[in-house]
Amino acid sequence: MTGPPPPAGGDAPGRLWFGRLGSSILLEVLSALTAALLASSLLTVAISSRLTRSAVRAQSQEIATSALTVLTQTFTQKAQGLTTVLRNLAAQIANQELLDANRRPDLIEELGAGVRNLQLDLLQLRVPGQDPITFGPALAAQQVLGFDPAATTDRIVRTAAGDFVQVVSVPIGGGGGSPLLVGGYNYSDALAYLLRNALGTTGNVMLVVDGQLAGSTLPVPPKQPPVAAAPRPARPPGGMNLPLSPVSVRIAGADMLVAYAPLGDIVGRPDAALGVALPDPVAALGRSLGQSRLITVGVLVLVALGLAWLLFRALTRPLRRLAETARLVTEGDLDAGFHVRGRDEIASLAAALERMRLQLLSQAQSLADTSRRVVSVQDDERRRLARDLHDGIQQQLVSLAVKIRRISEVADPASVRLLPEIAQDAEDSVFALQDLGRGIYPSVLADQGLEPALRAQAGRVPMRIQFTVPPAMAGRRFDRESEAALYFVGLEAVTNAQKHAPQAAVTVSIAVEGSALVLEVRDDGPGFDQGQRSPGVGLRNMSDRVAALGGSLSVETSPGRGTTVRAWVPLGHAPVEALQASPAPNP
Amino acid sequence: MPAAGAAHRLRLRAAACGLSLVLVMGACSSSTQAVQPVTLQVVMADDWVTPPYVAAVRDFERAHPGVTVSTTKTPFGLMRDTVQADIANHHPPDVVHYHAFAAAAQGMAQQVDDLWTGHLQPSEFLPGAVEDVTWAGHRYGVPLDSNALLLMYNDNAFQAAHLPLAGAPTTFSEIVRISPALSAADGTRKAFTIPTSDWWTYGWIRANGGEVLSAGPDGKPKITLDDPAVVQALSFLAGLVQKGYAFPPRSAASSSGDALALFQGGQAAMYASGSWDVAPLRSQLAGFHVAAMPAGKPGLPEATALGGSSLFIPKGSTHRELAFEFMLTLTADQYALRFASEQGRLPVRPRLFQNPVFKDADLQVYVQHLSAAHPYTLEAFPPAKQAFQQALDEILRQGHPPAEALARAQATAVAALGTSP
Repeated sequence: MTGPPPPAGGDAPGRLWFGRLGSSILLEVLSALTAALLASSLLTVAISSRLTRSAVRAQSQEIATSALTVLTQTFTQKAQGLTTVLRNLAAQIANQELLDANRRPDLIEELGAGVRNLQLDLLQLRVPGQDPITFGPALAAQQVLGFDPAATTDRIVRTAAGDFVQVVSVPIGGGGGSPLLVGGYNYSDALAYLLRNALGTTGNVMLVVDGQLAGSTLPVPPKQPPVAAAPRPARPPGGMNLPLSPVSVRIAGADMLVAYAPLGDIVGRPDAALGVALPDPVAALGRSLGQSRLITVGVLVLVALGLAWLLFRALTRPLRRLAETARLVTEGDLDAGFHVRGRDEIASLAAALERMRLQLLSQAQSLADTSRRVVSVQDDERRRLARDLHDGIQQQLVSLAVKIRRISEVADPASVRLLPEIAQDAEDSVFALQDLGRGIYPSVLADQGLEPALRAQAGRVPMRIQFTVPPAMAGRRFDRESEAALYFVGLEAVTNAQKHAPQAAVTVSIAVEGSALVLEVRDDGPGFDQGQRSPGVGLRNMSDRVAALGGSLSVETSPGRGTTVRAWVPLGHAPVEALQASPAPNP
Repeated sequence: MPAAGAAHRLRLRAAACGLSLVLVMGACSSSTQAVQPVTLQVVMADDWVTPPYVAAVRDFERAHPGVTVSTTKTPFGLMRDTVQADIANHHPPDVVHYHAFAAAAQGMAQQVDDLWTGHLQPSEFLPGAVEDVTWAGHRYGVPLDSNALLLMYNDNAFQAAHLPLAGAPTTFSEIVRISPALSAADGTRKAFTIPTSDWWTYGWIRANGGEVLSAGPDGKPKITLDDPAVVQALSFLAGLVQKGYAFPPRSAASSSGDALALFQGGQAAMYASGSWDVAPLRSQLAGFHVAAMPAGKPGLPEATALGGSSLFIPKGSTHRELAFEFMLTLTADQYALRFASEQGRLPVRPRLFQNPVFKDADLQVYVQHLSAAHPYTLEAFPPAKQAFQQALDEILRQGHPPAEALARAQATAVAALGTSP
């Protein structure tokens, strides 16, 4: 560490959490959850789709069959209606005796009104021995003229133009050889469109005769009636090979449900049929189910992921908290506790970790106390030694010097000449002892504090030493252990500067930074390569000193860049009780 | 580690965005595919549901997936009553084939001025066609076809009668002059046949220089059923009947009797009708020809009744825009030409008359005389129309004096018009 520790909780928990996402089990959990959800959703949707399709298919086939029934009834009613109105017209002609030659204009007018009012495409009056009276397309009329209701049950006439006309004939007056009224309407798209009204909003109508599509409402009508893609079975002679039960057929790009009903009973022709083509709901359902399946699964996965995310966060919050606490503990913050909540496995883990932390804290505290005690004992020993020197040998030497002075005043000259010299030696010994005592534990440190002690020491060193101390620091005192530790760090740093960079300018800075007391000794000397030189015993001792107080020491240097020694100790450090009682030695 | 975490975050966010996008697109595509089925109820005149009409319906349905056109055929003469009943029963159709101006006058039609904007210009239509959809200065429909009442004659019958006339008669008096030769004494053949139609009679009134309805000095409609020119025209027709030269209407109801059949069957040598009768007559009546309407007297400008029809959207229809689109489809050029060539229905856009379809000699006669035709505006006033129809029945079928019958009709119509829309 190169400075005071960062404030606890400086990083947002979310960022920490996201930052560690790569090593989180979240992805694994989410992946597994997603896979499970996808599989179960797809399975559910597939089963429900199949069931729905089956139900819809059955229902749509029923609807198609019903539509075909309705259509057939409508068609039958139209055919029966034609017979009825023709009978009425025939009765009217007979009752009014319009066949009388004198009533011919009335007859023609009546027939004209009939063809218009009955919305017929063709109307013929056949009177034996007379030219027929025909209303309608002349081309079709010629073919219809060949129609003999007595000779055939087939009520569909194919015209030269390829069209089909359904004809109904009624006798006028009754009896064989009586006049015949023949009415007909075309099998055409127009007829199909009118029939379609019976189906409501959807569906198409097809009129089939002789294997051809005679009329339809299909958007793009094919020539032949649409059937399933399977090979069409051979048409029985005179019959039809169209599916009577609804089958799915693709017509002009649209999926349709197609079914046919034979019209043989109505028109007397086995190859005539009425068809219905409804939009196949199953095909459309398949498409919409595909989309809804995608949407459903997607929504499920999204919701599940969201829920899983929240759940996972809730479940792993205690773990993340434990991990964060463990990180703080790893970085030296043994005060960060593992909080225990609940009684689950995570709580057990937290409790175990908390026990470990407390044990660690206790051991660390014990170790720190031991270190401090060691330093204190050393200092005590220094102070005791200084005091002993001061109170013992030094006093004795002083006394000896005084006595020698007195002797010199009364002794023989020869001896006396030696006495001053001896006294001087004794005084020198006193000064030497004072210096020794000061070096062991300077009294100015105990009396005036860190800055005066370092300034006093700097005065004895033949170097340019400048002090940088904030005014607020003047006269401020700190606990004795901290001052002693930083004093000896400063002493060692200045001594090293004097030894390795005697020409350098040295700056000593003392400051309070946050909750730490910081000392910095910087010189502009040649510096050195830290990789090439192992720290000396003095530096290691100083490092141990500040470490024992919970601080740290760092050296920043490189060749040509000078050297900076920086040490800090925490403020408010509780002094060791043993040291509090120890008085500072007097010089 | 922070870089790896950021990359993870990015990947997660990208995946979430992608999934959301897919869901949104899926939802959008499913919503666009969900087409609500719509049935467009169309009421057409019974003789209009023909292959060109079916082609238009098919194309319209193809262009509008989910829309079904349900067509009901109704005789044109019953159209007003049918639609009025539908509206009264709160089941109005969406498109009706009639005279839009008359429907508007009777409060049946929705105004479509806004729908015309950007789609139709009055200048592209024949003036009479625009009149057919205009009421009180507003548009109420889209013109469908135009026509005119012209004289039809059987040239074979003319030649057989050795008429002292080259071609068709050009005046009322010429008709009277040639009628004896064209009529048989036993009544089985006659020179002329008269239907039960007020529009048809209006053509003869116009040919005589008469008018049944005009704008008065105060701008209000003025009924002129007793106008001398009207009385003269009816006297001419009644005279043909009374002298045995014309088949009269068989009854007051248009559903009974058919004047066209008499002409088609050769019983009548002359008839008057629109071009819709050209195709069936030409195929079944040898000697069929078309000529201009004879004038009431020499020197009168050529005039006749304007035929044709239009489409309108009844009040209460909830598919207004769709109905208008259908009307635009049905009146598009391609179908107008088919209606002309296959059904004899003349288009309402003059530019189409340049089409080779109108090189047909008979159709050409109609095209040439369209400008002399005038719309039958009495259609907008049902009480006056009914009074006029009553008078026609009295005159042509019951033999009442025209002046008296028309005077009664005039009084009835004027009285009714006070309460008319």
